[in-house]
Amino acid sequence: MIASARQALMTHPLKPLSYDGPASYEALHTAHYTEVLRLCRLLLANHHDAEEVAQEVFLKVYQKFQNKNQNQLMAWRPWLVRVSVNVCRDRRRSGWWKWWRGGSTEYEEANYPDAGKTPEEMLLGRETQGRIWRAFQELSARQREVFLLRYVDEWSTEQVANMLGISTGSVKRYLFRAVHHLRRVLGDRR
Amino acid sequence: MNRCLKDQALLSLRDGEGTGAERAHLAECKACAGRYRQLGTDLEAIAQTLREAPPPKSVGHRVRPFTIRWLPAAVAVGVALVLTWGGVRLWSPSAPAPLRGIADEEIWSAVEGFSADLFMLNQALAEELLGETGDLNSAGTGFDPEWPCEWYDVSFDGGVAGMPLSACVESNGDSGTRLPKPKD
Repeated sequence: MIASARQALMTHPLKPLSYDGPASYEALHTAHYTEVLRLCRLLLANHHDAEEVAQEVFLKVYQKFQNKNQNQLMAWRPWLVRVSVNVCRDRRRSGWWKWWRGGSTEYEEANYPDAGKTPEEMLLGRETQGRIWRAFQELSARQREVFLLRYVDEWSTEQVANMLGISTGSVKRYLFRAVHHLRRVLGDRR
Repeated sequence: MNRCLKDQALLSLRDGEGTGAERAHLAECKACAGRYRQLGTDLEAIAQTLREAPPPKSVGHRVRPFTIRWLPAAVAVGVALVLTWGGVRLWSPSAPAPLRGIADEEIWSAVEGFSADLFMLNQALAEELLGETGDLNSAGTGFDPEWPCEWYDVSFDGGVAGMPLSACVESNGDSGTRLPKPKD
């Protein structure tokens, strides 16, 4: 259903709106789909779930386009991040049975940039990256969200707090715990 | 500030926060400066890994063994069974403990014999009263006013409560037993 809705959206261009982002749904999709997909993939650790969630997010974008006041300015990027985080959270909650059954094993192989490295460096790099991923999956959902938004997407602490609906103090606490855990893994390697 | 900075303070400094004293200490202390640089390097490496690479196949979801996956369900079912068994044991009526292990026929014959004797005694008393007074209403006057209606309360030793049977009932041949004469 989501795929068909997305197909319909792509074949029916929307009128340009006066806001601070791209002038059409297609432009918005082109500008932010990859970013939303990456965020969902990092939060869910499952490429197929991430694609479904990203399509669901852009379905909400389309609905927002339809209901939006023509003269209202809107910052789409924070809104997209907030909606993506919320939809990912809903997906994690609804997927308890999938988790119970052991989860999906359909993962693509790692495709790390290894150009210019010796085989030994490549092996060491892959091992380190694997440890980082494993440690990242061990974080709580909130710690993952905060760390991604703060250090991967490089939002400020206040922006992260606003997007997640928590206080800046809570953001700092989650960040510190996440960084402490991830660095401990890297420290074991050193 | 002489003491070295904590990791949380270093993280705050990296985020552009922290006090002036902490910044001054960071500028002076080589150990803290080294830790600060290492923190930045680690964070950059972690962020770069997460930013660039998809999750490797071997890292993503760990398939849990069958036993671990179903262990909580098995424990829950076991607890439910124990609770159900305990509830049934607690609420179901059970036989009195003294009767267990005793021959049922012996017990029931004793109970029936006692009941038969009791009814025979009551019937004889009632016939005697009716024969003397003519009706049940005036039969009550045959008793001592200080000892009303206690002829129904026959104790196990064959007497009336508070009084032996021989004192209140006289043998009268075929007619069986009768109450003592009412006082004039």
